[in-house]
Amino acid sequence: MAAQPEKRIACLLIGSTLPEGSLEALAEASMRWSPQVALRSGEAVFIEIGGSRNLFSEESFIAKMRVLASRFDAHSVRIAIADTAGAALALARHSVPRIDSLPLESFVDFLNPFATLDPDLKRPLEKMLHALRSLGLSKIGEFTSIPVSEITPRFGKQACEIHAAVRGRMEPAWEGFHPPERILETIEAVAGGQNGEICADLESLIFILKAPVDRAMARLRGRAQRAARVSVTFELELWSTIESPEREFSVSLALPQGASAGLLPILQERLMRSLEKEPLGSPVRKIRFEVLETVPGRDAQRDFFSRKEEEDENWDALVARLSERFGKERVFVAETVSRYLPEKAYAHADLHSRAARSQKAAGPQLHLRPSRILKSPERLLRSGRTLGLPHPDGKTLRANWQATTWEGPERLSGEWWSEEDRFERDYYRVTSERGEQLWVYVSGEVVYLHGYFD
Amino acid sequence: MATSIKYAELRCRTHYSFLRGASHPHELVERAAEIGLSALAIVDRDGVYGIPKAYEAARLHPELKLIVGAELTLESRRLTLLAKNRAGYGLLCRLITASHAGKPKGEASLSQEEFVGLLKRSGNEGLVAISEDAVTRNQEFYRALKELFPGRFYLPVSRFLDATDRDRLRVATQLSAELGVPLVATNDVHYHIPERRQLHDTLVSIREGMPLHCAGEVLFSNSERYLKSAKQMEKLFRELPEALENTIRIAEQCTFSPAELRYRYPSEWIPEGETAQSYLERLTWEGAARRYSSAIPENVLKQLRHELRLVNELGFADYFLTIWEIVEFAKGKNILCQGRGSAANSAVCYCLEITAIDPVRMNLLFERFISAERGEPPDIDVDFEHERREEVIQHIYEKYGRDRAGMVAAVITYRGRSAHREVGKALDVPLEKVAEDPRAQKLIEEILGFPRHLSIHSGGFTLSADPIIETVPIEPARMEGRTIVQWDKDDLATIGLLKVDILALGMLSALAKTFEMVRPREQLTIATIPPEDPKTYAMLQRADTVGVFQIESRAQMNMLHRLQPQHFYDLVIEIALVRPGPIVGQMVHPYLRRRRGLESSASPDPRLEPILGRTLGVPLFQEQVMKMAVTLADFTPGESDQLRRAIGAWRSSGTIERLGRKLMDGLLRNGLPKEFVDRVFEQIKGFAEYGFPESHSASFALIAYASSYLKCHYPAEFACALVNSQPMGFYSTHTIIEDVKRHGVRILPLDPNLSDWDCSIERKAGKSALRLGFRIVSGMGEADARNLFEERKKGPFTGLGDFLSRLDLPPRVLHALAMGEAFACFGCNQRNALWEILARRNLREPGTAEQLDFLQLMHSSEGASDSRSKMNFRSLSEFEAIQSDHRSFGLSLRGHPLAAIRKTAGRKFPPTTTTHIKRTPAGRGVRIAGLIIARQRPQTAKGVVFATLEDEEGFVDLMLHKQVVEKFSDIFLNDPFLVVSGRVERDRGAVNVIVRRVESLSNVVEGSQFRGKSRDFK
Repeated sequence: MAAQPEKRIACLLIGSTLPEGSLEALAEASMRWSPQVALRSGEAVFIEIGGSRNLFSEESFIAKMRVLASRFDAHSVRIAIADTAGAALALARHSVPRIDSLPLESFVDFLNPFATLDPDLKRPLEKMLHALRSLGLSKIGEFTSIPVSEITPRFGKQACEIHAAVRGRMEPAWEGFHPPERILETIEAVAGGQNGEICADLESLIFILKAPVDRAMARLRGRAQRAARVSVTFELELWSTIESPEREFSVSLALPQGASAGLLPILQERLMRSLEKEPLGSPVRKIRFEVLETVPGRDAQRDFFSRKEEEDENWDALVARLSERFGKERVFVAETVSRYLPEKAYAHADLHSRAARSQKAAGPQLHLRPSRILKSPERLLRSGRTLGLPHPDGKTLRANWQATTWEGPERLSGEWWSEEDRFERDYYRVTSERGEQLWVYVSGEVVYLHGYFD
Repeated sequence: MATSIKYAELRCRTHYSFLRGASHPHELVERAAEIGLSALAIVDRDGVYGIPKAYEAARLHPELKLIVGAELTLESRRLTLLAKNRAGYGLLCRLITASHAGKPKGEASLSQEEFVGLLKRSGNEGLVAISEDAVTRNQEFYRALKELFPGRFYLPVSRFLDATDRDRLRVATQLSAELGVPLVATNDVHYHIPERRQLHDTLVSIREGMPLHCAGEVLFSNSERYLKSAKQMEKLFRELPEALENTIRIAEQCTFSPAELRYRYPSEWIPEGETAQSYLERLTWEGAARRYSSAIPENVLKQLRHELRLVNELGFADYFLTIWEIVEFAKGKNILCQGRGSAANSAVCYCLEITAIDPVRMNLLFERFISAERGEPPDIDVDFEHERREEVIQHIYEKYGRDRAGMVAAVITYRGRSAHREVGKALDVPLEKVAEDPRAQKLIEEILGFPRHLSIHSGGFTLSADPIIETVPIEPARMEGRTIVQWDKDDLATIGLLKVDILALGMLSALAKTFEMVRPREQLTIATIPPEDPKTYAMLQRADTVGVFQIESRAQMNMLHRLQPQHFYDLVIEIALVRPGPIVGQMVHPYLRRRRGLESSASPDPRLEPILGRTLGVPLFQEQVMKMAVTLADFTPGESDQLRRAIGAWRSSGTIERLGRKLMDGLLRNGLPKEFVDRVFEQIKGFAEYGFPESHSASFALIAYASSYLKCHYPAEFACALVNSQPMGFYSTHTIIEDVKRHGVRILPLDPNLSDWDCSIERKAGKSALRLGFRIVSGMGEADARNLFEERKKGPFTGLGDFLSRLDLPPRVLHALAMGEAFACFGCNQRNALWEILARRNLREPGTAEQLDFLQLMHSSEGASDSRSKMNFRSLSEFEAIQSDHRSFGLSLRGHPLAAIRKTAGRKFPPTTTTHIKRTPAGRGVRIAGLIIARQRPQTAKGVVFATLEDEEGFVDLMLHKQVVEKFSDIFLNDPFLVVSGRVERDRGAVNVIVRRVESLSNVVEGSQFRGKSRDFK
């Protein structure tokens, strides 16, 4: 009689797509039952429960898992428990009670329950499956009934490993899950001096905030990461007039920041605007700074001989600060787009795009164009040599020019396939008596102003 | 448009610059004439593809001079070369040929060394060179050109009203001043009118493989690159009048015309002391003496003299001799061949044994083949055994050399589906919505007929006594070892070059193989097959024609039941009748009614009897219309030929209205009844669709009869030859074998010790049995089989182990042999054989023997086995075995898969078989299961689909109306095993089921998933 196995692995197989990070959160929550938790990315959580046998039965554990899963919006789950992770995954996936009844396709789960099989390993497996099916085999039990001495010469090492894995004699290394560490720094908000005065003004708060931000950013740096979303929480003095003892300010950064020098001004902008609208109800006792979301950053070690990193950081800080000040929708990096329609010959680039900030614009050769181009062309009134830009009220002119020369035309037409964008224009560089140079075009009989050559 | 300013456009691309030009050659020529240009130079990229068509159009506009040129690629630059004279044109063709030689398709380019080397040949002074637009002042390249083309090199200057005009002009004028090279104005034309810009943009989008909205600055920035008048160009180049004048100066120098291309037929086989004509006549009379073993009949003599006289007048003797030489080569190598098409109208061709039909006896019309009025060379197409056609092609290359022989191009153009697809992609519109998009519809209409790329005309060759590469450039075709000229068959005809068609016919291969197999018992050839064999016609009347040439399709079988052929000419009619032409022309039913005696077959006028008598008063062939025109409507033979051509171009030509009216008036004038005349006019509209000429139908009928005779009298040998000649014909190997089994022929399984590569015949007790060959094994090549035969010579294989140890066949082949039970002779069933094979040819990665031993040792305590123990795998069920056979061989000897399913499926399986259907009265409802082996959707059928359903007892024809097809399309088009419900329709022996419902058999009966293949035809 076989000895009682020491290990029992539960597999929670998710049937639907969860929001990003939910599976990891579910795995982290599962650690209340066992420190041995593993993940199969996007698909399953494994928990070793053999050590908790004394605390709950397997049936009650399954019920607990279902409840926990539902808290993370994982409603269609399948749970199976077996001696190995591969067996548990396969049983959950195919909803059969015994390993012998599993289809041959579940070999792939036994070979590597924690990740998708490498294509180099998948190919020989598929060949083997094809051959086994040709032999009339369809279930694992039929496969294991063949002695390994017959299997191995025919299908090689992989078949031998599968044979062993299916019988619980071999399994891949456990890939333990480790929840990410929180980057959280706290500081007492005590202004200088012995009095222990508690801070209430923004400038002081920013001064105090610097230290925890520095520490947090240094920790991030060591992990080669940058902050993408942070939060600042003020713990307030408990006055009777305040509604809540805490004020939290969550800041999604337009561009990730890797240094506190860039981050602090952004935080200052945000706090300033928020506190202008709604001042603090009482002085701040404690400040918590937490990095909520990170992205991969630059090297863990700073290169002091290169200015490039500093320049990039400065740029990211500037853009993020402008976004914070004016709003994300009003700050963009423009990159050229290969189109003849001038007002659409540029596009808002992804702020993260390195190419967009490159000195040399990647794109088609640029033709002579005005230094300022109007977002939309504006209709001009023409009378003899006079070109006038009407006021919106239609009664007066906002501006007018006496045209002395019309240089051109540059004939631009195209985008005929688009009802909205098709155009046919003859562009001219018009010089006025005062020496101003306008970029105008004629479409049909109408003249439009499109830009200025400065 | 009269103007004092003159201008010649010297850089103009047609759509033969493949996705770079957006106008037909004739559109450019017509527009140039319309706006009063003095001359137009067609300069397509790396070729003279568009020249013949431009020349044809220019002949109608003598006021416009056509200049011939091309734009060559020189490494990364382009150079326009214009031909001043014949020598210059010849050199241009050589340069183009060299630029294509050895380069991947679409990447023609000349290196500097090649270019300079070729220019040293004579003819250089016959070229004018214009560089591409100067964008850089790098003078080295231009200096070199100035030296290579002294006094004949020009810098182009263009104004496109775009952002680079100023720079371009500045660079060009500065270079011109510095180098002393004159400027020439050009508008770098890509289309004839500005409205074509949209199509041009679309072509660019297709070429670049991106939708229009992504093309950005890859497109031109405006619509200015069209043919501009002298006045327009004068306005643009007001400050550079000499640039305009130079266009005229150049045009005046370029006097070459394609009319100067004189052609000489190859003639090396003419014996000394003879001319082509005298030699032809000698061969003809010698052949006539052989063909007519007794005295040559008077009418034949008359016909031969008439033909030989016409051939002499028109100077075509060399052409006939060229074809004769090729046919003689084939006969010398025992390669079966036969002329087809209009050549079968010629008694000379018959005597030369180019064709096999006696046109005099058949009363065929010689003018259909050649006429004095037509004045162009005839078209002789010859079919060869498809497996040996390559020998004939190589003979032509060897005999004439690659510089005197080239295959004719076929221009693949945009047609319905490709036009929809490509325009849809350009506009980024899903295919299913293209038909509704008005932008797309306009573009599709314009792009139809535009060239996409050049392909090889199947078997068409042009040959010349002189190097052909000085008449038309040659470039590599996509197919290895093939080169093509840059003109298609119509272009060759325009210029007056010879074309011969070396075609491939699978049935000739099958006939040759059958004759070979039958030879020990009977020496047969096509010519010696007994004519009018009653047993053969009885078989045809039963429509028992699987595998028979031309009359094996479901439509032909249907017609055989109704037509009941009794004589050879009935076969001629049978073959011609089931074509779109007679169907659209509504000739089929009148003919059949008259054949059955349901209406009078008398011609409405006795003068029509000799013309229409054989077809019971219904004109079925173009030749009959031609004869009526000559005999009864006062047409000359040449005019009647024009009428035939006009009929063929019905939809695109207004000529038919004029000639058709003349025909009708002539017939009426000569007293023919109006009702008959009106009916003829309707019927000849049908000839605008594709129809066979009588001679062609007769040639094919000969082969059809030969194949029928062999099927009837030597079914095993014939089926064996068909399988050995695959792919060909209408049916798969499975159907051919099933059919021959039903005819009582024994099929012997594949045997490692007995089978050859080809299937073979084994004779026992006076009966032929068909032994399957290794060619049917999925994944097995002839090289694998050769290794097997070599090894087998050393001694037979004694068992599977012996087989595996002596041979190193690929795993997939061994798998197929095992699962097809090819090792049954060694006592191994499929799975046991596979198990054994896996042990010998295991799938493990190399070099891990020790590791494997260790792993085995680790796990040997469980399942430790006696290695001598046998594995007991579940045997395949009958259906699984049949399925496995089909996967391995494409057929099964165990039986039809339907029979296997029927046995195990029980009551769920529809009990009706094809035998029952054939006995079911018309109008009765039926439900039947079967395997779909063919689907057809003829263009004339208005969406109706015809299919053939097979079970273990035979076939039945299905007809599905459009709405039924649409309703069940997913199942009907994808599932090979179906259950259909419908109503029986009968017409004499022809039985159809008009289907109203289609189900998948696997939905009706579990476990009948089967991977068969249907042969689908449009």
